[in-house]
Amino acid sequence: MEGQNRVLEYKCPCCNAGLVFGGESQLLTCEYCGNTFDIDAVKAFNDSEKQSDEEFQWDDRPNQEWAEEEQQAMHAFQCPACGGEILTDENTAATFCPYCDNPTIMPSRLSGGLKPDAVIPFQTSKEDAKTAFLRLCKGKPLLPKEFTQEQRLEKITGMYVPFWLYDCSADYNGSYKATSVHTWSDSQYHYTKTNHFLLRRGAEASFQGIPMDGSSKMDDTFMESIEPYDYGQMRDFDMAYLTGFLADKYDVPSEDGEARIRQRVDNAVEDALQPSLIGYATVVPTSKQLQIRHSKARYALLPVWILNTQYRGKIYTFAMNGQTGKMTGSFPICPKRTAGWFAAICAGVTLLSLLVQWLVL
Amino acid sequence: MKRNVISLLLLLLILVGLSLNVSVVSDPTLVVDNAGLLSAQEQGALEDKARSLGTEYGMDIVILTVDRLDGKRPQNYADDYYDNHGYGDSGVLFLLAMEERDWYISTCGDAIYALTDYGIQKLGDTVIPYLSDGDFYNGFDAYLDALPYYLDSLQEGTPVDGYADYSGDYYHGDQETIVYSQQKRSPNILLSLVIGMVVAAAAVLIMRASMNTKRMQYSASDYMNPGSFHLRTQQDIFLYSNVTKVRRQENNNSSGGGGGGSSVHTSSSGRSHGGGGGKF
Repeated sequence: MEGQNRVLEYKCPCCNAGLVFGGESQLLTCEYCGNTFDIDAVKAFNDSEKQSDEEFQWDDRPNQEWAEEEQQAMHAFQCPACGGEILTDENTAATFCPYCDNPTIMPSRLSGGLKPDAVIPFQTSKEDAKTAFLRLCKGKPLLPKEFTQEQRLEKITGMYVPFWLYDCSADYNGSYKATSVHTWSDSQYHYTKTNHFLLRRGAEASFQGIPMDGSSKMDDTFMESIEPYDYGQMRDFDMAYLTGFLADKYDVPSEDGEARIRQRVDNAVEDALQPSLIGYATVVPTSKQLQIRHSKARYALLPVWILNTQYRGKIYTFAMNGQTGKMTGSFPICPKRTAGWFAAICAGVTLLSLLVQWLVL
Repeated sequence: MKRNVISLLLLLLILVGLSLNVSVVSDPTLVVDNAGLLSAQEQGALEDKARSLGTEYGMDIVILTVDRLDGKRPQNYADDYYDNHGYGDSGVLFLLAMEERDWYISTCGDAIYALTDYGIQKLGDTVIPYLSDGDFYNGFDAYLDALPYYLDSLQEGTPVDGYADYSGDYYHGDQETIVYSQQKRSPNILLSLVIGMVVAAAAVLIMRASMNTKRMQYSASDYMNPGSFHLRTQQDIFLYSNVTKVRRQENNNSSGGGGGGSSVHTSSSGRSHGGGGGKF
């Protein structure tokens, strides 16, 4: 119970303010005194400090004010900087104090069975996300003018999203009906000969790190659309990377991703098989069998920037890969501009077509 | 006296007017039966039919029968007759020579494009059976009935064309050049509008698609270990085959582009003629 509600922050060895992990520098940065620190150095410093502070860093007061269900979902932590009460839902692993904005980490949600195997640290900053967003707004002829003119980014949030990374090997067996067509002619007839074949293909392949987001809060389509991540920059998990960002623990068990992973593996193997099916006029699959073996899932936190912007009372959300900077989202479409473009292109092409006909005929 | 002069002048004027009027009305005869193959009624019926057809299509449609060609080639005889008897710029003359048993169709102006070598041969095929039987009236009647099909197809832009079969006794006129009908079509506004709308719809759909970049990944290909794909089994088993055959189409008789066109030569008067003929 003691350790349950303990909050972790990394203090600046210089001025004692909360440290933030900097995406570009890959170092812990103090926003107050401007110093940067190596992660290991800060950890060593904070560990030595912690002994005396321990009893102040947890809070075991029963929250009698909350109803039973709310207690399940909400958890109260005490901010180590200002002493204010930080309320979180059951999945939050890293957040900011609502009173003093101090970055805080809930170690209990990231330890034991919940300890992630790996983390890809942020490589991009909030500014990068803003620039990427403005760049994405350019060259969109159907975007309402006011969207770029009036809009201001309401919120840019850097978040470590829990992901399951699946490793597996696939064993595929498929049958296909295929035909090939030959034609020739003599003086009287055109002949068409159709040969019918049964094709059998068996293949195996192994996969590493197919990601599947493990947070029910995040839109799965969004998380797939900012793939892929470069696992070359993956590090063993360390809480220090989380400071200054939001983080959630997983709430979707790894088994729940099976159907989706199977589908993606299936498509990947079938794509890889395509070259062996070339040379036939038609190929129709008749039956297939896909076995997935040696499946295991690693638990990793991957960096995502979430951008919220408001336009005409509606919130538009964009997501950016915090490592590669790939941004996706859906923009509002201006009906007036759509009609305008349609009319302009229609008129132009019609006139061009008339001109060509005039010249040719 | 004065009155007499005026009445005389009036009479003169009327006479002159009458004679003028007569010369305007008296178009050259269209059915000229020099061989005497038709009765007077038959000749009159054919004449009426030829004249109404000619008015409809703006052509002179002439039928000429002769006992003999006096040593001339059918082509020259037909061309010269058409050129020297006051027929219009556009027309078609059917010549029948009894002694030589020759039939020949000479075309002029628009008729050159309407009646291709192939078309003339086909026309001949419809008429020859009657002529061979000596049923000349029905032969010419069938000829006049068949003509509108060829003249209409020119107006629709695609004259009846194909490749004439020269293995029989059919021949075309001298071939100084070959002409094909030029399709005179004005730009199609409706078609242009449809093209414009389709292109615009496609462009707008592409623009719309770029507004939403949020989509699921299709496959896990990015995560396949390089070199781990191994094609274990690859069996292509032949089951059976079947053969279908379709008879070759030798003549494509309705398309405008595919065909032999019309052979054209210059007659002794310097006019361009097309034509063709054979024996009956």
